[in-house]
Amino acid sequence: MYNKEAIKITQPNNIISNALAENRNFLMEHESKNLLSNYDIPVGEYKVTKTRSEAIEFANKIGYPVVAKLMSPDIVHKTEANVIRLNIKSDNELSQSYEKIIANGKEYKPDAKVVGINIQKMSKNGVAEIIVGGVRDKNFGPVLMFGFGGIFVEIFKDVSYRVCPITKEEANRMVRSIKAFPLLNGYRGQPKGDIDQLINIMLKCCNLLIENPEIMELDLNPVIVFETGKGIMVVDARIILKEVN
Amino acid sequence: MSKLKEFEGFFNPKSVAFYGASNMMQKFGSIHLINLLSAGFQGKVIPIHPKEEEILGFKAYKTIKDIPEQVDLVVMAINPKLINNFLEDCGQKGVKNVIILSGGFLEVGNKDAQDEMKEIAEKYDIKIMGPNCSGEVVTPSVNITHVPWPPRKGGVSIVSQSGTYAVQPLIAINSKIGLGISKIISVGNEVNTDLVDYLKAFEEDEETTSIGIYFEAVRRGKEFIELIDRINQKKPIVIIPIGQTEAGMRSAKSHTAAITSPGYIIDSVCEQTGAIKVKSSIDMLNLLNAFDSLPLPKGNRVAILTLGGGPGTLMSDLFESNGMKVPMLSKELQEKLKPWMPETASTINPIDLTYSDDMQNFLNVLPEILLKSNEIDSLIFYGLMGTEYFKNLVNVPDFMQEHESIITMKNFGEMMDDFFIALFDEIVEFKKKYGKPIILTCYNTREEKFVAYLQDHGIPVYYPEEGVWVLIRMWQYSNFMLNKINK
Repeated sequence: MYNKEAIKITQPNNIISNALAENRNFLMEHESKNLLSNYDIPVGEYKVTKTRSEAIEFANKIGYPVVAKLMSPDIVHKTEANVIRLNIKSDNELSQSYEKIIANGKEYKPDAKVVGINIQKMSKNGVAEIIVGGVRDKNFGPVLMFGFGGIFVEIFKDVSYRVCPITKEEANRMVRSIKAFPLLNGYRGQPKGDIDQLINIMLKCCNLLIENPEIMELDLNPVIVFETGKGIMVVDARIILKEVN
Repeated sequence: MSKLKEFEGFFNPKSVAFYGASNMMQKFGSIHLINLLSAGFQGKVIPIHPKEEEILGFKAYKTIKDIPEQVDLVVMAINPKLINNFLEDCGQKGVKNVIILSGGFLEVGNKDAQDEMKEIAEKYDIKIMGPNCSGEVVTPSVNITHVPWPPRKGGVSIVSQSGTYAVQPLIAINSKIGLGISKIISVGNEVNTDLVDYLKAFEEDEETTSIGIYFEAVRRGKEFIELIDRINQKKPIVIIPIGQTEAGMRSAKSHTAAITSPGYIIDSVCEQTGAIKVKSSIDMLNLLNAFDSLPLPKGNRVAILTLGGGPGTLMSDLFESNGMKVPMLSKELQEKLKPWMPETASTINPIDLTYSDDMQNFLNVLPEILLKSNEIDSLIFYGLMGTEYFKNLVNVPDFMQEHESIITMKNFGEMMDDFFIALFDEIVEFKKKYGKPIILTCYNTREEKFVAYLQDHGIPVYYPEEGVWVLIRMWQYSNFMLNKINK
């Protein structure tokens, strides 16, 4: 079912215009997460640190294990540049990782500008890891995508799509229409995922896409779905903007 | 102005002028002119030709401006280089509707020529169907296509972004499918009328009961989806996407959410609106035929009445694995059926008569008992033989021709059609009386008169599995709409 009702959550932000002003057609992860936060989409606690000691201080505040990632306006593909360290367990380990990440970044792209090192808590396992994505079609406008991560999306192509905007009922049908849905719904005695919150986030992503026509692609991957009542969390986010001329 | 009124000149022209018709029958323009006449067009037909005085018996004019009276519709099947000049002439003459069959424009990269066409059309307020299209069919008497099989009048309207798929299935409609058409439109390059425009006209059109779309791409995506959503609630829409490569997701390299494939988008349009996506042109026409002829099933329970076990079994499998039920009938209902069936036959459902020579029981008595009951929502038959069967059966060597039993069989075969017709009229009545879909399946085509009779009277006839799929998809549509209303 398709209709136009949508919950409008507009918050002023200039994250997108700043990126475009810098001739950049993507948002760095911390910018993406900042934008998502404006839409009340949970992204977990994170901080872009400028020094090693700042990183260690923040890691102690949120507690180990943590994840460290290089934030650079010149590096889109962090995995390819080898600038992500997962499951860092101590000050010592973080200290070494900090230097290594910066070195890897420089090696990948010698003139890469470094904004800082993003420190976030290593997320706990949830019921499932899913993807919420979006793409702007030149004819139909924003299209929302939902699926499970990893092999589910890559091999089985077990995903569903809807042209935005969508209603809550439609988002619900979208979640239930994928084959892997039972994995979210308490398969073999596993706890049920927080489907209500998931749907909520999907609707917010629709709004995000509708209200920000500069966004061409949205990729929240992975998103951890915790058990019912415990919400969801976006672990990594990538937002691609329109090409800068 | 309503869309339907806007297209009056295309849908109900009183005079049609042809560029490209000549005294050479093999010319595309000539073929279109002749097909229009053969469809029974009663209006004026006016060929335009630079040299000839007369074309195929009609007075020809050198230019459109020489024609004394008003021209409602112009058809162009000529060298594309000449078209824009002639379009200018049409504009000056006051022509408002032009079908441009010729290709050679944007589809081959000739943007300038198409832009110029658009400008001329705008200047004179001309509506163009095409260019690069296969024309139109508007029953009962307009067939401006190259296919000389005008369909019977009915409620199915089709808009197509493929010229071939728009018109060549008319051959199969004539020989096998037998559906009734209201309008077929081939939109071509959509220079100034597009898919969305014709859908709006179909929405208003009281003659249109169901709509088929051969879909390639739509520029006005938002309007399209809203329109589909709205129309589909009143008139079922069947979509066949064409030219949609399954691009799927981008490689893992650029992550997985970067999904740009239009194929997925049209799929989701169907899921969101309840419009039905099919993968073959025959599936589309079969389904549209049912939507046009039959009431919607109000539930998912089917009765199968068959002369043969295999089809009954396969049909059951297909129904049950696709969301429908072939329920066991109650003892009471089975008792009611029994007296009218051979002793060896099964009354459980499928109701398998295995073999019966009592066509009245098979076609009237048993169906009415089933339809009257509240245990089933639709009825599907398998198995019937007609006159052609008997004709072939008595196709024997000369020395046998005079054998008494051959003569009896021959006479029987010839009576067959008339005998059936009375029984079929009852079935048509049942459909109205009980408001449940009734489908007949067999392996015959419209060559058998009984098939044509049934189809032309609103009982679709299919190959067995085709009929099953039609019913499954009808139920999916019906179920979607029931949920939508109840929500």
